[in-house]
Amino acid sequence: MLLVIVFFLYSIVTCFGYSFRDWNGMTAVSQAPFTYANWLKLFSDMNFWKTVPHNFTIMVGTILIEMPVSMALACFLYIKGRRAELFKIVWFIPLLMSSAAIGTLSSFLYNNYTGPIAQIVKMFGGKMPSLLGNPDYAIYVVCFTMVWQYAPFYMMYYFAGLNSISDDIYEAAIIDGATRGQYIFRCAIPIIAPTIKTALVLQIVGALKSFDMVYTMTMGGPSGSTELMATYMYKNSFVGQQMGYGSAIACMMFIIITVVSLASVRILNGKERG
Amino acid sequence: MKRKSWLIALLMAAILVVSGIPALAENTEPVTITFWNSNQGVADVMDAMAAEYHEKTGNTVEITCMESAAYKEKLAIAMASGDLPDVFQHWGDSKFFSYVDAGRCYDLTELVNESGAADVWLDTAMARCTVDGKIYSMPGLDMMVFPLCYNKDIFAQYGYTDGNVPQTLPELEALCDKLVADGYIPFALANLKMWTGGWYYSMLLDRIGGTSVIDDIVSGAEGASFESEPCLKAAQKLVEWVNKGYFPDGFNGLDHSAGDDRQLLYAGVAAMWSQPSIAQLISSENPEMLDTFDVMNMPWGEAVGVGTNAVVGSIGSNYFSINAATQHIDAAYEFLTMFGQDTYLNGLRAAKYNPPTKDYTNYVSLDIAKRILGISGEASSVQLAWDQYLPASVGSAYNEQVQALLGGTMTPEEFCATLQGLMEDAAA
Repeated sequence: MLLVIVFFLYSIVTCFGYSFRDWNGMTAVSQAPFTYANWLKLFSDMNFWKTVPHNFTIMVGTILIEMPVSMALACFLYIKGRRAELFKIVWFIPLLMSSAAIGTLSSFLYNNYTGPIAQIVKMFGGKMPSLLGNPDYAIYVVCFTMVWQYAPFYMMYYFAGLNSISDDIYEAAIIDGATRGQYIFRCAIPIIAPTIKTALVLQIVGALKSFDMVYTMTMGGPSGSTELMATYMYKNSFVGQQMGYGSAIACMMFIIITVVSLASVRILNGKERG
Repeated sequence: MKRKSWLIALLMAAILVVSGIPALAENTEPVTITFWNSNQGVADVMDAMAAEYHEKTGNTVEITCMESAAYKEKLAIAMASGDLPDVFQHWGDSKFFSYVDAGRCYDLTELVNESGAADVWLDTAMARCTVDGKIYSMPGLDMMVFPLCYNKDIFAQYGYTDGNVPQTLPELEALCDKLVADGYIPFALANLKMWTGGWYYSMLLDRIGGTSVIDDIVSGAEGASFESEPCLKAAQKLVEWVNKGYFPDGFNGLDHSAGDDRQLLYAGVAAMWSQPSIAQLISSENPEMLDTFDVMNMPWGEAVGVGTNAVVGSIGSNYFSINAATQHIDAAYEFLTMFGQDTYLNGLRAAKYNPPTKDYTNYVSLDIAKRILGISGEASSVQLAWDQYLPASVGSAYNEQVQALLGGTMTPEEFCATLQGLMEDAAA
């Protein structure tokens, strides 16, 4: 309880307190004048509100792509058992890499002049379009890279869920004449529904507070097309030296993430009951 | 009663003596000071300096060195939390003034005047360390300017030989048109990290409207505005350059940190490029191509005429301050003075840097570096890059707005109006 108070409640309350200060982050916060201006500015700041759909794009993208991909990989590992040990290790590697390293690596990979993809396209006589430099595509490229990094995490999550199913259920299904596919879709996946639900909530929260990979890959560009709530908050707080305003953004992020998470839990629980 | 008083007095005296012992001991015992910087290119020079410092004083320096963009973030967070190292690097920019305002930098005036540590440095470099007549930091790393670097072989194909280069903006544009027609990229721009594109707008505004335009905007002179005619014209010119294909496809997705721009230059695909530290980058990455490149200043705009030859750069590039809350001021200052001594200066020179010392001309070895310094010497002024020159809250946003302008998601009118709005917010 003490840890929750120190690391959670105290931080949130303090952040809300800072959001009502005209504070640049360097002077003593107690000397910073009290103001409502940060919140008024936030409600009218279209640059912030433009970031929210970007977070939701990543959220939808990760749910629509990451969940089926990681589930498919987990099912493959589950069915193949020990014969798929090598795949398990190889597929897990992206998760072991730091987001900063992946961000740098991907800017090399997606380079439309000298990157490996551009070279392959060139071999076939084509010309690769700029992926990270085009505001129309950049968010999807970022989303794809995030899926590539985090799919292994959910793969292992689902794999652990599948492995927790009793062998008796599998044997009973096979004796009843079920194929492996039928067992997976009609028995295994419904059994691990609570695991899937938890993973979905984690994905939603993760997508809404994404920061590190986007910041290293694009810094929110080009033209703000990959700007997320967290990168915008960071730029205002630490680069623009507007700590009070950055705190207001952080508080709004907290509110949005809490509302969306609670709503998604409620919807998922409702579906389970139904 | 008297005896009791004597006993208390004795006890107090004993406490005072005993409590004084650690203080005395602290003055003589070696200490460890912390030092943060972003000069990965000369990390070995910093290490050698720290080793020499340890040998001389017995004190130890813990050096944290990281990539420039990451360092800026780390420093900003440390400034906000007050958790600063004993000695730290900065860029002598608008943020430095806010550090001083917030009382984060130790006032070195007395120490510097007593030790004469400033004597080695150029006055222009020391001027950037001084706020309201007080010295809060020391130079320095490099006499850094952003000239236009060009491929001599490509220029020669168009009749520009023996240092002959376009003299006016229209002449430069005529050359760029020919380059585009022949499949060359005129300017190797990699603008993913945003700060690289800012140079083009700042230079165009300088050549179209003169240096006073931005100076007046920053100083808040009456009538000065980003929505003025020269600012709009410069933005329109930059968009025109993009539309005419003067920059690589997808330049907003190419990363300078990964060398995407230099690869185009080294491959002979791009004809020109502008960056700080050109001589160091080429000599370390591709020394055999040093003779392939030369440098020029951005040509004059006809409307303003000859004399508008300001350059973007910094006489000193990096500066070093002491944390005002340090517990080891003597040790930290002694370390700071070593930046003006042989181990550091010679190490920089060996790495082809030009520290801004009064005798810098004696040490410049590379021809291209001499010509870069020649350009800065001839310049009417050396202006900080705008992300450093503009107020902190506008500086980073400036780079983003230029990226949006270059990317075509913002019109020149919107660009100018947004910057003006940001300046007004900052002033408020």
